[in-house]
Amino acid sequence: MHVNWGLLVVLYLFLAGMAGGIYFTTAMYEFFNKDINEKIKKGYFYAFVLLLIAVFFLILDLERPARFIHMMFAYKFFSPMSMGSWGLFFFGLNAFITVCINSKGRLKALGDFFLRFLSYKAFILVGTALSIFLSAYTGVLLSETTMPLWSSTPFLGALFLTSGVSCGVCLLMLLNKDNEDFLKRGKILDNMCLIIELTVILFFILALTIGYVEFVEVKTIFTGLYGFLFIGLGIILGALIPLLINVSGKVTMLSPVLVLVGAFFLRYAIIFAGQIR
Amino acid sequence: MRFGMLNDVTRCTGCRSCQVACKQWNDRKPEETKNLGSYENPFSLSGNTWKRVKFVEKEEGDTVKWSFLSYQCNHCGDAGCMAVCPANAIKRTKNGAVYIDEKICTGCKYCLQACPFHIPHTDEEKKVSSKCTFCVDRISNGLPPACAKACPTGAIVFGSRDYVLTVAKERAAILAERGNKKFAIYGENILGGLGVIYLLPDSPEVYGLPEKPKTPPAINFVNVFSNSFVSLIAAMIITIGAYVSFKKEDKDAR
Repeated sequence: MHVNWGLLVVLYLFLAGMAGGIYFTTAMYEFFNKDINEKIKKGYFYAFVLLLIAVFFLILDLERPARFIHMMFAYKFFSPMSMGSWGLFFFGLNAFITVCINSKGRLKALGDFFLRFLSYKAFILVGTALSIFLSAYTGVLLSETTMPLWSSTPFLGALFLTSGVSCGVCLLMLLNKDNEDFLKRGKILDNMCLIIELTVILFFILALTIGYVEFVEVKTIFTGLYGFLFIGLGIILGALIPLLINVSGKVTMLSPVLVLVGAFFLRYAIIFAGQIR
Repeated sequence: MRFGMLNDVTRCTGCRSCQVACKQWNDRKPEETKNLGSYENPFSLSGNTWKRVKFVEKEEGDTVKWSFLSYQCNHCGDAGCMAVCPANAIKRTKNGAVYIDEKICTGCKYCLQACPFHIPHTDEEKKVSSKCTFCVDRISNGLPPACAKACPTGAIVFGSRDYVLTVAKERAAILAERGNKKFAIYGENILGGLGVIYLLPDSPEVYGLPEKPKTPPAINFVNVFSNSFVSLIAAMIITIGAYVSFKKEDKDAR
């Protein structure tokens, strides 16, 4: 089967969504909980690094990397890819500034320079908005096509957003295993994300099966290999089981790992199944 | 003046001279293909094949009707590929030809996903999107596209879009006189009016043409707005969730 968007695009969507999610989680923790320590603040750094890796995969997919620059010479409000490339740029810039402000040495001096223009809180607020945009736009991008699986429902943006934030929380939990307070609070947020994600998935499935699109056009996501990846790994292993583990009361590192694995396969199934004609 | 092209299935003999002429004029490379049990060759458009003749077999009682559909990019009035292109690499001439500027194309393949007819393909050598240009170099110099010039039966008619529509309607009237009740003129009004009009002796779906192709979403706006709206609601709920999860309780603060 020939697909136009393959594994590199899946990796990009997964990592970019997670970059947005980890920035969002760190920023929210800093806003609402004054006890943030340096280790949790590294979430901004992880977001920046994840974004760089994601963009690397994206540019690799283009096969002629220098061409990427042409997206920066165009601006189209109703082309999610155009908006997304600008969102990537500004999110990356903001994440870099946030990292500078929170670092030491020469980078700190650069961070102080940026603080002349905006307050730290303002940078974080803008970054939070951009992180939400980054995680959600990956889904909106797919909806702007003629592929029935992607364009028949209004839920892909929300699905990728909730999944991205859930991944961000989980990655930060895995990187702060020794911080019990954060693990406890992170688990609550992760539960909420998973509940919203499962609700969105439910609406997504309902819209596909009883909605205005013919089932035959979207059945690839429910049957065969992609059905297994989407329902088995993406939904059950990646959302339902972690939620049950979390609700059972134990703080275990298995749940965040499952969420990350599930989120990857969720995207994999949606991207590949959507391109079967 | 907007140019148009008529692909008249009732006059096409499947000689494929249009296919060959397109390859020659546009310097497209030959491709190795496999025989899949039909005279049809190649079986799909590609980065190197911008025009092809589709061989359609339809059983009607004891007989099989064999007809040929010469097709390429339809140069839509509302071109989805052009609307979504993030680099503004897809352009339209004042004559209505929609073409890809290979120097600007990033190879993101978004146009491939946005075309309701699945026309653009990747040129595997240049790593850019590729499709029929309506022979923009020829028509801007007063010449018809190579395929129209080569067609020996008058199945491909080129001229102003109004002229082409008139010819299509005249020929359709002849079909009606002969008792054909299923004929269709495809492309007059859909997607802002196609630049390529088809005169079909049967319903569009017999030829693999979508009856009601989706309006390119970027022009429709509905997908962007509905997805963004639902995402915004989800974002608000998650932000409230983050507040509930992370807020410093009073007793901790003390």
